[in-house]
Amino acid sequence: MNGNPIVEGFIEAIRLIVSLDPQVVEITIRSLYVSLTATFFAALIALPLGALIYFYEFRGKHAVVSTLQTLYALPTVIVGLVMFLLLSNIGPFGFLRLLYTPGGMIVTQTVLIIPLLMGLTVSALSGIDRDKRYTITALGASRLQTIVTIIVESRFAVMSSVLLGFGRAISEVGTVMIIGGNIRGATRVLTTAIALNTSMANYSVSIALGIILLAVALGVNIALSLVQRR
Amino acid sequence: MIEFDRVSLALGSFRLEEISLTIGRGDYYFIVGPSGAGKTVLLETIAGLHRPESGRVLLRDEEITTLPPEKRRVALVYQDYSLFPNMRVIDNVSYGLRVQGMRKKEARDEVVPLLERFGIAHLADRYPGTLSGGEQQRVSLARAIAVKPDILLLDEPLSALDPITQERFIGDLRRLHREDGLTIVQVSHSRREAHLLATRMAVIIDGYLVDEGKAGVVLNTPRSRDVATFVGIENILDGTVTANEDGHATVDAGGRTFEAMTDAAPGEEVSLCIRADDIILAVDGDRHSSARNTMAGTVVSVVENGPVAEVKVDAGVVLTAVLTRRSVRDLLLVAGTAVTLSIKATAIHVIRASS
Repeated sequence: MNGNPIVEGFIEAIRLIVSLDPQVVEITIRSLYVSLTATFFAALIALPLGALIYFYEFRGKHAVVSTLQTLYALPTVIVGLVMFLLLSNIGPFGFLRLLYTPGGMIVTQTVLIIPLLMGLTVSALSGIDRDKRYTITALGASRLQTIVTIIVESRFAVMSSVLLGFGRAISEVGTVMIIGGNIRGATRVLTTAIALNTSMANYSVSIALGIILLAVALGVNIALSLVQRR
Repeated sequence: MIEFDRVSLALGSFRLEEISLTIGRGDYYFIVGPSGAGKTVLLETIAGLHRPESGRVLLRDEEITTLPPEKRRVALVYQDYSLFPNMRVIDNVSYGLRVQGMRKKEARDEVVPLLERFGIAHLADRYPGTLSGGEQQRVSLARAIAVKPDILLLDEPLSALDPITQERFIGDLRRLHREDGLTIVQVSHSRREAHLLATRMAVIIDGYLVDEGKAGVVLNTPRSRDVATFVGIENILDGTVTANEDGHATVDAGGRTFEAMTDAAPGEEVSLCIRADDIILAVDGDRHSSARNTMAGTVVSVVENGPVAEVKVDAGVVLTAVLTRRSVRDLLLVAGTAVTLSIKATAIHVIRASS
């Protein structure tokens, strides 16, 4: 075939997806595994911390929230670099031997999206206004019951923030490249595989993986709009 | 029932200063005042949501100044309804019972008669977002009543409703007060609502309680000029007492002489408060009347408002009278009509500048 390499790449990409090419499937599964696990752990840490920040008044609260919002835009390569230094043999956590492993990638993505999830949790809970909080209390709810009610009432907004966190994790390339090393069969994920295959002019695989990545992003967006509509 | 004894508190730059008032069992108590006066803060302080920095709050003679809100047996309804958007109507209404430890099914069964009473039983499985403003307000009221509060606190509950729904809701509130004997405290900036519902009322301006007492007394014989302005006395004239004979005073105000009942001494500065519906208008130069204040004037304007009309008359000083539209028609009142205006001396409330 002597056609346009981009068109050929698309055709080949469709074939790779439809035929469930083992390499494409393996990379996709690893991507989902790393990012879903990171999102799970980040949510486990960030949601209670976000709730704590929202529910308790303390000096510097506004500054903490502003800092979290600033960290939404934290460059992933900076997080990757810092985590590399921490996890490498010369770093304090080198003994964990997490560098160049999916475990290390999970830890790093967890760190990356925690500020985002914390900040968005604070915003989600802030959707319950002062009057509603007072109404809950005046109806006889204890402090704990008030907190639980507010969290339950904000659940769809909180779920939206978790989905946004997952979206950031699965689409980023900086930390997974630095911490995972893009090792074939071990730490290669969708974004790093696309970067590598594109540099090697292996467009069909890149396009196939790109289509999958877009499909995942689209899936997250659809889920997000469904949740927000609720 | 509930008593505030010199209660002061600060919220940011806003302060409530030494508020003392008593709300009796079964009162329909209005807290009125202009925007930002501190009405809602006072209401929330009754609920226990703000802790006073000084003074005492007493409930049935027991001090509850530091008692947490959940132990006060009060229920609060805000103007924005504050319903839980992700709970069905029946779960919203039974929420207070659930947090008090009642099982879900039991709590739901308990509130069914309440839903029927407020005409919202058919909405039980709907979410608040699908209801009209009036329906949401009734859900909010049912939720408050479900916990069987000793005191129902309402923060401007009518302000977000359209006029027809407002009338219906006023009927609901009247029934709640009369039939259930519930003590209700309502914050409002509407004089009309106070006229229609209040048995007692307090006027708050800039964090200070400036008047308090029976609703009729506060509305008709306000303590100060500010209160008179706020409660909507249509004619307030500043003047000086020129003579006083056994409480029957002559006052020069706005370029005219008025007779009124007051103990103010000659030379004392006073404000005369004349309700628009205490002014009687006559045509054809009929000046024979027992009213002590009779003066000739000319109609400046006639503005119809529902079944009544507001008539402004220039009698040396411009005074506003309220007549039925029928009277306006019968007297053929239009701008320029010559009229005689009468006001009884006893219908003029005198506020002494020194009070």
